[in-house]
Amino acid sequence: MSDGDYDYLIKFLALGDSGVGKTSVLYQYTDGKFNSKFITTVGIDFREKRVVYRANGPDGAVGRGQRIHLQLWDTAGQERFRSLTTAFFRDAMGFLLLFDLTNEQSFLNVRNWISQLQMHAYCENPDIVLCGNKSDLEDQRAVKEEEARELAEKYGIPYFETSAANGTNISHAIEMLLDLIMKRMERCVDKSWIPEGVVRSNGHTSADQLSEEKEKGLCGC
Amino acid sequence: MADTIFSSGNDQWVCPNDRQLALRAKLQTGWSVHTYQTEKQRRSQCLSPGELEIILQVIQRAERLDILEQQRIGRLVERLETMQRNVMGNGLSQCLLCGEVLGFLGSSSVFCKDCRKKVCTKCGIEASPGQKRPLWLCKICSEQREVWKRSGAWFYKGLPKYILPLKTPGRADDPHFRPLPVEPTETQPPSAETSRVYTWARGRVVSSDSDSDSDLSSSSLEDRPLPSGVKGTKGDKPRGDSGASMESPRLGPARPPSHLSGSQSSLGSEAGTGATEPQGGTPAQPEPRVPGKRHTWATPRY
Repeated sequence: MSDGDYDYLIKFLALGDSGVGKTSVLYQYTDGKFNSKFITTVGIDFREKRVVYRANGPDGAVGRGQRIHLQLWDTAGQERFRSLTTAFFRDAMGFLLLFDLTNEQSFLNVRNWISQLQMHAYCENPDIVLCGNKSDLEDQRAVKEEEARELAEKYGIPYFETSAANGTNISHAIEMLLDLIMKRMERCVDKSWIPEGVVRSNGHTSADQLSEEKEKGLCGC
Repeated sequence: MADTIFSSGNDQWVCPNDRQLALRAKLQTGWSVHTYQTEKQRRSQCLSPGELEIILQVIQRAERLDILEQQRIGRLVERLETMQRNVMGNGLSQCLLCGEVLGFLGSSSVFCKDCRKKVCTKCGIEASPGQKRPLWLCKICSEQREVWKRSGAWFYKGLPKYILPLKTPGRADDPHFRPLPVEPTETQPPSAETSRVYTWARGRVVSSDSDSDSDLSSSSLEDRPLPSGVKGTKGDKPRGDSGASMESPRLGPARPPSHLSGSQSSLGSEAGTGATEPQGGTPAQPEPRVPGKRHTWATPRY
């Protein structure tokens, strides 16, 4: 893990209220274990994991596997660490926004966390995946799935119901976030060259401009 | 750099940048403590020494990962620069990369979308297979895009800081030896930009004169010679053909004007930081550095 033998270094950051399970979700993802004892995170921490990403091309062909080194930043949800943790938002390429399905207040605070992201992240529309954690505690559920899905659709972000205790959907959520980031990267690299393409193309100017306008709303760079 | 930041090792004082100042403000260290807060407020918000120690350990762990990343990016940059140095043709009547004669009596050619030079089909890569209009890139421009993606430059709006590989074949993994490559790297990107601009400009002026171009390229590359033995020891398989002639294709993406203004404002703030007075005496606590610290070097556009 300490070598530099990978293709991409991708940095994610987990955020959400204190006690929703940010540390446990990341621990379950990197080590496949769960510790039911609650130890509050002091300020900031990170874990690492090496994964292989296979992009699905537009024609359905699976591309060659690319080695991704994930740096997963774990933040303290407590208010007194807020100014410290937000300093790390800018370097994160994608965000895992967690709330506790058994704690309605943590769900209501999702809006506040998204506002924090819009202020401190590298752009106003960063890639976010919303996770309702502790889905295994069905008898204590306080947030309906449709409520959470409506909120996610309102912000245009994917939603997963996860459980750090049994590992449900954690890999899916992080893989979805990685897919969003890799697609954004491809758009950014292609878009960087679009102005020359517009100049070069003869008779396709309107098509390129439409394409550029469409991408402008999506791409953060 | 880590030694300099944490005041151990050399005594050189480095002016803190905006990120360090902002982080010091949030950690309530340095000279930027908020004076309007009451003592009670300040005490309740301050981190305890134990908590501060934990956070600093995390930041140091992140810096070790950053060093590995900088070395990896340096390898990518070096490979790309090697390809650029080894071009053999003029990109008009000859393939830009291998110098093969193109045209009526020669090989069939394709037009690189990025640098707008001609290459043979062996030295080109179809950028969007399956599309109605096939887009071709020469192998250098394709590699340039790969470097832009893999280094995170697409995210940081410019190539982040990197450490070029050492000239000696057997590189030491000694941790004490590790900070040394960081120092000379500070001056590498500007000189690289200078030589790149110069070579490109000369290439444009005398594009049809291969011999003259070759001489100029050789002189501009003398400050960074590579022993031929070093290439064999690299893990990466060599790309492109060997040769003395060189003509640099267009480097770096064309950015929208809004990004330009962003870069200029950040440069202005950097200049403002230079006016800060030096700190008197040793700071009471070590000054942590934000991981993923970014030094964006503006790529010249042609």
